[in-house]
Amino acid sequence: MKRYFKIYTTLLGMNFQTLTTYRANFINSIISSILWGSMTFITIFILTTRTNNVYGWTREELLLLTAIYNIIIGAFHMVFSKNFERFSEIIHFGRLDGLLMKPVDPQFLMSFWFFNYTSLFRIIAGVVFAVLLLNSQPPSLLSLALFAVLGLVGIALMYSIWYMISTLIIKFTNLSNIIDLLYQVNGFARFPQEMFRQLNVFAFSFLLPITIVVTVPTKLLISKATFADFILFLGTSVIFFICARMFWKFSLRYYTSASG
Amino acid sequence: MRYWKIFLLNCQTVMTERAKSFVWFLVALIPTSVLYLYWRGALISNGGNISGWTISTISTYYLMLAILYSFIMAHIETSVAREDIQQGELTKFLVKPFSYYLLKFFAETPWRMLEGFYGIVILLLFTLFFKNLLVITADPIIFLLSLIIIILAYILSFTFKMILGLSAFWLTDARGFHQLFDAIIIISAGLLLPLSLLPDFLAQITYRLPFAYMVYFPIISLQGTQNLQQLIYIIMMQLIWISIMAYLYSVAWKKGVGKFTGIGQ
Repeated sequence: MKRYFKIYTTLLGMNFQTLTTYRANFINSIISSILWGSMTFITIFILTTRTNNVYGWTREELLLLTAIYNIIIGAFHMVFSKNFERFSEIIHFGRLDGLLMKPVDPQFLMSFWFFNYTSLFRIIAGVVFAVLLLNSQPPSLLSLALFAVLGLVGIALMYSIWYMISTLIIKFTNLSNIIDLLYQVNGFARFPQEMFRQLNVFAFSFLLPITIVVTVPTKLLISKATFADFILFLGTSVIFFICARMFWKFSLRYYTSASG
Repeated sequence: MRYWKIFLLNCQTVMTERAKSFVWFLVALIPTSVLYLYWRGALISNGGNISGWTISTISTYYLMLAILYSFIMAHIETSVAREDIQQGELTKFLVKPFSYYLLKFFAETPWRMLEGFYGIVILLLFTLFFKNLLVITADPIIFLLSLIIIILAYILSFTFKMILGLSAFWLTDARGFHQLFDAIIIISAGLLLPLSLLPDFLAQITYRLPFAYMVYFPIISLQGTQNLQQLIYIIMMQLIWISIMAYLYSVAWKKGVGKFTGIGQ
């Protein structure tokens, strides 16, 4: 564990050096991060101009959901997204061989090689909005501590979903754009989970994991979460995390090392 | 004839990447489906009518949006900016006896056609299961004019995206610039919601921009909400915008090529 921590610290340092070397790219990424963060708020503002209540969620609650979405997704993008973006390249060009030969867990190297510092701006924007929205009814310290735990669990769940789907690239090496699809799938987490209950049981069950990533931590802050929500959230996260690991190990048997 | 050959060659390339193209179609379908679910809930909470939009008209709007967006909205800007200008691949096109614009046009069109085809399959499935939720014009003249509007919308979006791509001559890494326009297009082309549901001041602005003529007007034309006079006005506006874009493209191309070093990054 200590060794992995040391490796990660080194990787963080390397990422920071890259950041300071390519300053134009850094500024570009900040603009992009802030832009998409702002767009999520603008979207809700516009969508709620003609109606103030959707699926039992008020405009303020939807905005809070968006703020929490920016915090959780911002953290996810900061730690993981860039690594998933290179997933297809590594597999398609047969570069996974090099990672498999290293004396470190390949899943660790696939997941933590890059770190996107610019997503920090999106997280900050989310935190500022959440504080402003919760100003009238501030949550207790216990709720905040529990929220932090649920936020981390949510990121782990999101990571597991992305990892499982990205692992499919080992079998279907041409699907390099599957990551673009995952970015869109993330959008499901921006809206209340209740919205997806209109779908049939099969579609709802399929989308359930992604829809609870942000909804459950937000419900906690507005005192709407039930014990069943927590159990469902934690249970789904643990199951998906284990499945992602097992699916990765299983899929490696089919890695051919042939480059495209 | 030679452009036809180029088109056929690109069709072959696209057919070998059918799965990839289907994923691109899903990329367009997912946000549209989410927004449809949102409006369905909003309409139910508001007695089934918001500013004249009902569940069936909103269903048609978002279904048409998924299909037409896949068919109309070109995504050529990344290829032009990153591969051709930033990485210097443009050099090989400069020495060829082809128009760069047309070459790119015939490279992009097969992708749009295949994604549009996926959309039509989804439309047919949807019609089969939810017959009453779909409202499309039954008037053959309006339908024909709508098809012209769709084709002009594609030419308009393609030319605009080409100009966006050429911005890399000056910016080199134009991703931030492109994303800014992506955000503008999401709101002002009607990808987020029908423009008539926007706050009034914002709706008035978007009607005056070219983006509404790329997606929003083709959809409402097919829905049959526009009369003949309005459809002709839309076609006229599209032609005006295409002329403006074509002029901007030629200026950007002439000035940009003069700046192009071909070194690549």
